[in-house]
Amino acid sequence: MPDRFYQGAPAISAQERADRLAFLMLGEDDGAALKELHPLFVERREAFLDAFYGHLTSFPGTRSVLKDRATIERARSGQAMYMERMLLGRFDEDFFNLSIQVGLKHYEIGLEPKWVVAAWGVYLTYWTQVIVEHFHGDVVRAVRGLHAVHKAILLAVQLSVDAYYSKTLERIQAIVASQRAAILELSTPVIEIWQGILVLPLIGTIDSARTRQIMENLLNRVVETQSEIVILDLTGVSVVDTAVANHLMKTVEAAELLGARCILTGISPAIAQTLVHLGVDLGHITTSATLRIGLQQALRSQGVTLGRLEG
Amino acid sequence: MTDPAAITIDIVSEADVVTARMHGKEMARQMGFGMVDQTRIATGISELTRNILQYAGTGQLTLRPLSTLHHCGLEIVAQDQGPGIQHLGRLLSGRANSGRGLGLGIPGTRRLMDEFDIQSEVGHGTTVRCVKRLP
Amino acid sequence: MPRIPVLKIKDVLIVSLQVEMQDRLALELQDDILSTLSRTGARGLLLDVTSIDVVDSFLGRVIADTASMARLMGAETVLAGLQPAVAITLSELGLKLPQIRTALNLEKGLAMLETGKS
Repeated sequence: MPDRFYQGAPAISAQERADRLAFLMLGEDDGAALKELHPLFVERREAFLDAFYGHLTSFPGTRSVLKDRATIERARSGQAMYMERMLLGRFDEDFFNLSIQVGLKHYEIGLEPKWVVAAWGVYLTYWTQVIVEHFHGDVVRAVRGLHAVHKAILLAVQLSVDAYYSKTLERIQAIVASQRAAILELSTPVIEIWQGILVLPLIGTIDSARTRQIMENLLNRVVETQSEIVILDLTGVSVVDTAVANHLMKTVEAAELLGARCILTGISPAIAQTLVHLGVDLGHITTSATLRIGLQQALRSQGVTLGRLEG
Repeated sequence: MTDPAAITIDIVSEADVVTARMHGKEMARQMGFGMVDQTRIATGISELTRNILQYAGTGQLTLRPLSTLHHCGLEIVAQDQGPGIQHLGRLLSGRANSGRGLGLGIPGTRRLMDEFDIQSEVGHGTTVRCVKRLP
Repeated sequence: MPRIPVLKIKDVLIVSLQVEMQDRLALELQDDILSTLSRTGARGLLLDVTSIDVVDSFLGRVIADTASMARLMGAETVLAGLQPAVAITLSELGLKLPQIRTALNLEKGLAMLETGKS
């Protein structure tokens, strides 16, 4: 339901747009100077685009991205449109969004920032020639035009690289998250050892961030398997600190809220001492020294008896 | 770039508590928080907005995604211009029973969040800012 | 605003809490439960919270109070179907529900109330 609040929302706030323009010292004077150059671009567009794409397709790095005529044509018309838009000299929300779209497009086709930045450099070289020729003699106007083009291009570079970078970051975060989930799954198997009985063998040193996730995983499994008894086995745990003990207690409480009962097993002398010294109240929780005894208790409470077959 | 935009919700009635936590949960989901964190966030919002209604009458809740290279999370700011809190220390320790309620709201919310900061001035109002970080 | 129905099966009242509980709705429900208990003399109260995705300290307290009141009127309360995320949040919040027994689902909850086992 709240979706409509987010769709089409500006990616960059009005305040941040103003800050970025101020930092670049890109102002209304520059806008006017660019507008003055607009007809100059329209006039030379085809010649320029020919030269520009000729340059791009003569290098293997960019040629591999611009692999066929259709791709080049799309890039070319997009580029012409964007350049014309830039030379309107209006750096409003629409221009920012457009520039971000350009960066996203680069990400999509795999055009890395190193090529994008250099290509804008080629652009700048071309414009310097055009402007110097056009205003020849009038140094003040030439410099004014060059400054404006320079800053506008830097803004375009900044925004498109930003977009590329944030997409990359997103992808890395997704990879990290999936790897973390995989590691978690590997390191904390929740075993349904009998109908209605889960065993979670905790192993190694458990820090509180990991404990938190282990416990979430466990409680989900309780509901999935509708298990009434959970055995938390601490046999493989060397150290229990306050934070971990606290998480254990929270898990026991949460499991009880779900309708399951916890049994803590494998409590070594060291852990027993720590828990008492920390003042952790295990009051009503069933505990036992070994997993074997805990399992027997669990089975008995489910009405299961095990015995050796006679004969 | 894909983060949802910040929103501010006026808290004037019970219905706004429900609206605020639905927004919070949805924003958390869009940002990639898991089910348990979504619930922690919605519950924290519920506690903070309820406190606004109970002690100040009206106020605002702002939800804002934080996303920088080193820090990713959801920021929740609850603000009111009410009477302020007199015994902040006692409240935070969970020892105070501030009128009705179990006095769990503030210390409980603090336990659900990763960052928690409360500023209150008697006679001028209270601002609570907390952040749940993306794991 | 519609009210949440209080159903009676044999000796047990069954109430299914809804997704977005507003405070007034929760308090009205408490009244409805207690008056139905008094009218019918039911011995058990089964609260189904399967579809509840947020329990804050207010709703938690209403549930705890309702259970205490029901006990005074001779009925045991069982809370059934709490979601894991909600259970974790409740325990972190520090909310205790001492008077209430819990069950993984409605069927188990009903069985607990019918046999009176603890």
